[in-house]
Amino acid sequence: MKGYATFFLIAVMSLGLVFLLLTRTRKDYTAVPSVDPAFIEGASPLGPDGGVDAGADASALTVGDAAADAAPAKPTERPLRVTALGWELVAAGVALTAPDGGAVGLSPAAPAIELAPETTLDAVEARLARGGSDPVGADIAVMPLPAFVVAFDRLRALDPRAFVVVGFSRGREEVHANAGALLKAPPGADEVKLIAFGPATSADAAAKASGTESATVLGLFALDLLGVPPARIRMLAPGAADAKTAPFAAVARGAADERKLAFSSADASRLIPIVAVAPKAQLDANEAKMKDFARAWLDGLDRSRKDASNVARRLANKEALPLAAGIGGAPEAIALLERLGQIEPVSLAQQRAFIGASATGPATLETLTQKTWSLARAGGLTTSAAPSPLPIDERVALAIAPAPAPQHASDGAGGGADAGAFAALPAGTTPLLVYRAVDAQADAASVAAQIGFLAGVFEHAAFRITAKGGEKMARAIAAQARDRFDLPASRLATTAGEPAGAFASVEIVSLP
Amino acid sequence: MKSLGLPVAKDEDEIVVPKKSKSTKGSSGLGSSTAGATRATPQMRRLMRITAGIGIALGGFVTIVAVMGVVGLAVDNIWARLAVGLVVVVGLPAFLADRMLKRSDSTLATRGGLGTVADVFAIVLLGAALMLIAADSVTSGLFRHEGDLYARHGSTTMARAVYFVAGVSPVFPAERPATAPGGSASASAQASATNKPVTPP
Repeated sequence: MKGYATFFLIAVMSLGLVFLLLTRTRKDYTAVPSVDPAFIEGASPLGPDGGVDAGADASALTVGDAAADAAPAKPTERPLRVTALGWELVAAGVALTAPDGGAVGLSPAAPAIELAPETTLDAVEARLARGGSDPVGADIAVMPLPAFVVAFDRLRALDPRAFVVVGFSRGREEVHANAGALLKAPPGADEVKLIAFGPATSADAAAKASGTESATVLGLFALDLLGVPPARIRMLAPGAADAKTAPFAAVARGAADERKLAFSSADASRLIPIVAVAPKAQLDANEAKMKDFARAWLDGLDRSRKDASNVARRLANKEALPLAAGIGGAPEAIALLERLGQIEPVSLAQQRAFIGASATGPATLETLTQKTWSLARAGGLTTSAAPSPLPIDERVALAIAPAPAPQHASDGAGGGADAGAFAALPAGTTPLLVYRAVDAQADAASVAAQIGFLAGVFEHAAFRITAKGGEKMARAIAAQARDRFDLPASRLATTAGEPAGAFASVEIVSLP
Repeated sequence: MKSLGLPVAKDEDEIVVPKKSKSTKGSSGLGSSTAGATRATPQMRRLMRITAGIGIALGGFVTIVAVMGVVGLAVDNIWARLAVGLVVVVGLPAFLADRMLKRSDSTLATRGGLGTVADVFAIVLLGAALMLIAADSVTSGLFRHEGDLYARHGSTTMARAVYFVAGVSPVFPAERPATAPGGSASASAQASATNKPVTPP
């Protein structure tokens, strides 16, 4: 009988194993291409004009083996490998590929593009670190600016540079707060608890799932405006014991939080740019190719916006896409479609408004990088101060973008025409948060400068100013802001009261 | 004093303790399916042998791939990975089978000894494989990495098998749409003539 029992046991275990192997849910996975050592020895990473690192196009070898046999043995150009933090950020690359696999309206002379969307910053860093000559590496990364700032420390040896702005985050990050918590200074001198993904919470799975570097920067930005010094901020994971007592939470959209939504990056629509990043050596060695890439990518962004449902479906199904090796599963089409709507593309014509000497607005890539860096440093997301000069390379954007049309002061509704006409804000406005000028050196000019920056960041918001000295001082500040930044007077309002504990306070108000 | 008349044991009386029967001798405790099936029909014996063989093959493959995957995290060399994998996959059940045979005073030459060894191999390897597959969230990455190593070295069939164990559906570069930019960058004149890459202007 024992013999039969053993037989039965082995049979059941075998069937169980087969059952487990056959019935598990299988995810799509892009296999690593095979590497031909002979090709590695003879290859130039980016074609005849060389590149920054020696390597090979391994993926190119695996396609069309029969045809490759007949082809000459000279090294060919490998594709530009583009990684991105999030599947939605490669939508431009998808839009550049026709559903039948062909290119869409682009020259065949330029290098091909291979897409490597990742879901974690670590994976994006790993690809950049490997370089584009590695089939699982990348030449270019597309990521939000806060992620770039956080990654910069680890990639410093590559000297990575942001060289083009491809979009702005529009609602991907949210700040939740207890009722009215963002409209007054936190009481006392106690620590201010913020639920966020940061250095103290990076090991926590819940914090990882609900937060991003960008969301944390948005939360730190709100607390900075409130006048909370960094030393008072304590970041907590959502599942921490005292998380319920935290008045603020900075989370990615969709993450559950019991606090009320105060504002999001849809309100601060120019705070979190999404940039394309490449190592400086890459930009130096392949400037022409980078220009071609940037031009094509921006064109792809435009196309993807017009055909979002198709792009989302093709991404979800990995349908006829030039995906790189080692890519994981794609999100569902509906999730991708939602995320695509949370990115505001930046066109070629807008590039010079953010990069270069002609970017004179209050919210340029330079000012945003400086601000993001100081917030990230204060929050402990990065350990070093912003490098000087900032890691921004203007060459590509200046070469491809047309010069901006000259702006006239009279273009806006503000200026001299309605000087002094600071009417009351219309009914139905919602205050989002408050900027409090608590600095001892704060004066009308510095507050006006801050209003200018905030007007650039909160594109559609109005500002209600209260200052020490009453309405007269508030009007003086508003007038300075209007004149210096061409702000329409309809976005500025003054009140008669005086703020407590601050030189001035500026309520950022969402217009109906 | 008057005796009660009851029998009383004396010192010189010998207490007879029943000896333990040695009937367990010859039994492995596991009970070889093939050995224990001596009374089974030849067809049944053959089925038992085939089942054990399938168990060893299935469990052995999954286990050896897992061990090779662990070694592969540090060493890419196929021979080094294979050697360590074989040592573990053969050595561990062999050791257990040896213990089992010693307990039953059997050898491989003993009737049923070989069957016992086969059963031990099958059960140990299948047990390990079941655990590895059940712990999918932990081991999937390991198997994927092992599959990547095969794919990178051009062993597509083996890579496909390992990816199957990893629970992923692999798409090899050669299977991608031939018009994809990655593919179009090949030196194939034929491919480039028929398929246009995604290229910036």
